[in-house]
Amino acid sequence: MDTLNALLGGFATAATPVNLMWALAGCLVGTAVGVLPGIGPALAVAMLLPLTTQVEPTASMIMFAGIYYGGMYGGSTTSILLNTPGETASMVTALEGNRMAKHGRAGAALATAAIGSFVAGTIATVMLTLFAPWLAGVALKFGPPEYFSLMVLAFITVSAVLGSSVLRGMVALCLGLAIGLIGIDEISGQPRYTLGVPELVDRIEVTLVAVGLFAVGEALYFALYEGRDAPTRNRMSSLYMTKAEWRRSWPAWLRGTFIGFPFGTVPAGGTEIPTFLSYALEKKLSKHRGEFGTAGAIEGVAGPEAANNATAAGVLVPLMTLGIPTSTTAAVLLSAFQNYGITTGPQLFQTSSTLVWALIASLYIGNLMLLVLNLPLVGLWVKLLLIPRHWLYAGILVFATVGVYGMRQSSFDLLLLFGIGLLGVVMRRFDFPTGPVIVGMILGPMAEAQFRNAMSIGEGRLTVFIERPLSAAVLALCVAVVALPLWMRRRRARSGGEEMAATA
Amino acid sequence: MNNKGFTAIGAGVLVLAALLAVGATSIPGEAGYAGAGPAALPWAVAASMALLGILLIVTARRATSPLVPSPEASPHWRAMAWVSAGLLLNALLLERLGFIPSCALLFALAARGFRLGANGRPSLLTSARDVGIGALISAPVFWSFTRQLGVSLPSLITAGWI
Repeated sequence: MDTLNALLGGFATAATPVNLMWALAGCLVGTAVGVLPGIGPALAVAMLLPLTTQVEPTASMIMFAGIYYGGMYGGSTTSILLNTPGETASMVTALEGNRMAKHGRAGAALATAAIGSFVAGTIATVMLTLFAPWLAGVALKFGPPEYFSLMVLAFITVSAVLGSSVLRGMVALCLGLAIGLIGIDEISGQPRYTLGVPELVDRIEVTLVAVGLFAVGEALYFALYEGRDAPTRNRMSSLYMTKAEWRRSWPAWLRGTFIGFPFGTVPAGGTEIPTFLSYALEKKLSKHRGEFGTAGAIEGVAGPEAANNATAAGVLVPLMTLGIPTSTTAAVLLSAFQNYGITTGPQLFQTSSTLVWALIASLYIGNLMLLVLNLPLVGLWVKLLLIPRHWLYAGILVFATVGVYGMRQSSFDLLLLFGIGLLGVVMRRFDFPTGPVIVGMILGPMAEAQFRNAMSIGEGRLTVFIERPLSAAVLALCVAVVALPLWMRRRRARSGGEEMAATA
Repeated sequence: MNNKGFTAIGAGVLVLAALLAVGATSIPGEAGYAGAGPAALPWAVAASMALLGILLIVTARRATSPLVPSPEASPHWRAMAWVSAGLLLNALLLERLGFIPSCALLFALAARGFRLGANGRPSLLTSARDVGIGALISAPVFWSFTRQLGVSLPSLITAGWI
């Protein structure tokens, strides 16, 4: 009952005309960056972080939430209509969505993606509403050792599970941790790695690194390698879904939702695993298995797209209740909270309850807005794909300048931005994931503080982390997450070798 | 030897680890009874990076096939040079020329680079037009950020319209 009252209060805050405008602005920006190739919601929020110095927290968090959800809706449009995979989140949607579009059913694919996103987004937001306050209550009992262990788990899953290589993910994570070290140590007040440069004493802004890696790095990589391959576009068709298509879509939406949400809530980050799982499940259950990979099966779009949006909602649970970001966008959102001096964590529901509930309410409102924006108006968004890419990327660089310079008014930051852009090109070329850098640099200092507090509690003994059952369990999970895939690969290699020996 | 790039990155990571270690020696501060002071994490990161650097080099040298596929197209360095020039000039000139002119220049130089990267042959006229388009994009951004959102950006004249 308390939850319901709080939620109603949230709606009262979020539904004021001003806040509705912010939500609409966020949904528009989010859909646009989702549709445009090369930029995503993490980058858009990062570029708009300077707003946090001027706009009041509720308004800007409502807008950022709109961008976050909007990016998920817009991404599917591009992956269905363009023959290049857009963001990682919509890669699976592209598998079947592209096939459908090639066979003249682009409209139906877009419709099932948009409605599925709405259904999943709404159900997942309901789950978030029910689950987050409960988890926050549980998390109030956590101490520094538990937090540290959970953060280690987040580090490991973000860097080891997501990328194609554990080694490369770990390198990216360490890079992020190293960047996070620069500046004044929060506990002792000692400067670290500042080289006497005032900009470095103040720490490197998350905006700068995110924009450098995602916008500048992406643009330079595009100039270097990708300019010559022009993407081909699929033709639009009627958005009308037949009765049979509805019947095939809705179970897939529901299954996708229930796969996606839990994956978002555990610090396993990212949407790759749940969307692939949903795809595999739909393929297995489908009565039209022949359409998968040939004419394009609508379940193969509906399920993963729902999973994708449900995961996005799930990611907000650890972010709001534990203060642990498990995806790049969540990490950037966390730094928005930090800019306001708001500590995310279990206290958030008590100290900033108006903000939190307005944010949650705006997720419901945003979902509805996005359905309207993306279904009847999809034709307008498709027009964005007509912008010549040399102007699009040049424009992105201008916006990157605003975002980075607007934060601290320093030309030094713009030079640093270019340097990080070069780093981004190298990472992209050699397939190093960039997400762990961002998560490492934001979560690193927090994990360090928890570690040192825990060590104080344990009076300098490392055993404090295994003496407490919850912390020990989480650390054991960390070991399992790293060791299991290695062990399975080795076993597979061995059994593969035996088979080879048997056939030889 | 298909993985020279990875060997080089491994070496780079090792250098970074060494630099982090050197920096860590100069971090003052007592560990206290907690046993972990401000230099603890820097040492841990330096050590992990050293280990990862070695692992990168070992994997690169052991692998018989490329670890990641190389892009189909050969790198177009001239395109990247133009985009880089735009970014660097913008960094140097932003506070002298003001936001709109400097960003218009960035836009034109970068667009030239991207056109070259797409095997286009941009003429001087195209670039001149791009300066204009760049100004048309930067101006509303500048006004909305400075006038409505109160974010301060450098301007050419003190009145702050350009």
